Amino acid sequence: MIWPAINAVYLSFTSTNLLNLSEQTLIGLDNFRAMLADPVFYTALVNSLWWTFGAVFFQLLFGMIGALALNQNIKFRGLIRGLVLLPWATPSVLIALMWMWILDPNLGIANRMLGFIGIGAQPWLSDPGTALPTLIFIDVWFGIPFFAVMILAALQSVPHELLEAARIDGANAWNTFWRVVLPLILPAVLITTTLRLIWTANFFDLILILTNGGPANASLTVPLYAYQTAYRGMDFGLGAALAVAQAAFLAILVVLYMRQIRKSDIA
Amino acid sequence: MLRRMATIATVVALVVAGCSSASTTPSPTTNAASGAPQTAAPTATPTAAPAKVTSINYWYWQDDVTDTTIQTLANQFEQLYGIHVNIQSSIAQPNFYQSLVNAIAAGNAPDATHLNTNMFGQLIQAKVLEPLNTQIDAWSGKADVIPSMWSFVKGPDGQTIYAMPNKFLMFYMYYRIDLFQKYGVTVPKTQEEFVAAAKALTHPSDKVYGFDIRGGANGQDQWAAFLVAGGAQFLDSTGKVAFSSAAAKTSNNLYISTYPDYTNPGAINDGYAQITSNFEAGTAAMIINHLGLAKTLDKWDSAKTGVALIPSATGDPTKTTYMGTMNANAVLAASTKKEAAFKWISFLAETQAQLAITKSTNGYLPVVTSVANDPQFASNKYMQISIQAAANSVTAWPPIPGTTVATQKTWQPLFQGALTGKNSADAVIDGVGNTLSTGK
Repeated sequence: MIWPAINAVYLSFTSTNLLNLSEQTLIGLDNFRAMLADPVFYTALVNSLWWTFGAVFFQLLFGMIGALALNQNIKFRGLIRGLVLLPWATPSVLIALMWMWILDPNLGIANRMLGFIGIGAQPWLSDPGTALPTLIFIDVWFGIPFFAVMILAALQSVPHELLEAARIDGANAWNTFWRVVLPLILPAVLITTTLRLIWTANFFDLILILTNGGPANASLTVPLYAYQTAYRGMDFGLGAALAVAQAAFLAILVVLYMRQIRKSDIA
Repeated sequence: MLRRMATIATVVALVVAGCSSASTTPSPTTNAASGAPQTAAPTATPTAAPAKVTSINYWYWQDDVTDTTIQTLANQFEQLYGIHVNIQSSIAQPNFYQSLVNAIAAGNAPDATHLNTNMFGQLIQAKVLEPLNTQIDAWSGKADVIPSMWSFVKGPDGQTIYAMPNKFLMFYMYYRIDLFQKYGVTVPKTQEEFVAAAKALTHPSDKVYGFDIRGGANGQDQWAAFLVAGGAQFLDSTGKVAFSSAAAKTSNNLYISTYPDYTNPGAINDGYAQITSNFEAGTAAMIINHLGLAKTLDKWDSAKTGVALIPSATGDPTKTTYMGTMNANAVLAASTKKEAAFKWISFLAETQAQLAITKSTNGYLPVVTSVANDPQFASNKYMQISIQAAANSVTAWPPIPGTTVATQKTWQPLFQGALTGKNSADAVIDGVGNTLSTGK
């Protein structure tokens, strides 16, 4: 497990062509200089930030709402809990293909349904301004079940005695959630969020299949750019440098998260 | 603090590297499919098989996963020559090259592999393909191969043959006969007429658009085929990259001028599946593709499908170069069973195998004269238009390292940028030309 990571860092300091490894040479920081001088890298970086934080924010928001709903005594609760997991349990390639046809501008059902209510056809994935938000929407749909299930598990560990005590003390639903439930489930929420941030930052299957980073790099993220650079451009050194930069960024994110935990005295 | 950051950075790097390594090193699986033959069986006379069975590994991608032609041919080849062919066909075409490169780097390359002309350049430069001139000179089937086919499988020196021609395709235009009749439009011959026809065929109120431009995956082939017919050339007579030219830019401007007004909504991202669906649904009146689409359209409604040469600069086919593409078979230089591997790829270029391949699900142009003259092709309009195009000057993406990068990485963002106004149309020509020259 540790060798691929070390090798990725090593590759980032080399000029590497997989087809001719005997000519691999150490070139110091040249790949990182090339990366920083490349305007496409900054486009990908900004897109990555929107993609990662945008998708995870809405997943957390709707996952929390879903978990609170599923924690109620409702009919067919077991069945509903199983059904909401379906998007998460579906392979990402299948999800991409499914949404590709739902959103198809000519034959897709999404624009037809909008047409029924008098709204004109939307470009969804084919307009630089809407491609990334549409991809974020799909990833939110895909990731809500994970948050819902994780938060639901945390909610079910909240002692009933505490909820009962809050009710007797006159706390309303919002105050009970904000002052009793949330502090108790916060560690689980933060861990889930951090994991999901890392996964989402690295996840590019949907983007690769639906837009391949387009139109005109409008949905290109750093890991997809690293993949394209390495496997389409055959520049494995620069591809590795992009991956290392992403790893460093995620490391900073995790450090900030841990400091926040310590400050909040939650850990 | 620094220690903690270093620890966390290592953990995160492990996650990232772990994810990427898991997706980049597929372990080949053998396709054991041996269903009933879907195509005509070769009828060569079996000879006594040697007692010891040699086994070779062969990679190819299936354009149609239900097509068992190659497996059937492998079974017959084993009966004839006692050489067992382990077929790896589970990797889809878009990922095939990357998987092959991984296998080569890992020292796990197959003995023989299927390749598209777009993939040759880097492999030839890295000397991972076995030169085949000597074996081909000694091969009894050489004289049957259509002479022009060899130009597709030679290296940049124009002499060394690196692969055996196998499946040949020419790009041409498909058009909806019913829509042309409905709107009173004649089939365009020149590129100016093409733009005018796209305009005349566009009727958004009927959800009909003139041309599906294919700005997404692998659209570079259709684009290049249009530009080549417009006078662009990849290399000059000395073998130097000469893509950036006035003719290329004029043709490119005409192609791009159809967007967005005369093209399907979303065409900027469209790939093969979308242009096919839009054509069948009657929302696209014209598309560019090759024979690979013919059987799909035949099953749908052949009477509505017209075919024509790609509109050119002059409208005169004899003064036009048309673009083709070749899927060929190569022997890997690292193979320890080169003789058996060559036997297999030469078998696939012989008459009976070629007959089976051209009749397979997707259909291809034969690379041998004995099959090209088969009467069955005379009545097939898709074969006829392909042969008509191939009868003129023909070219393909050149076998240089820059081709792989230009087609896989450079083209799409620049082309989409030109469609959206992010960059100029000329920037596409200059960018692709630069990549062809530098390989970056």
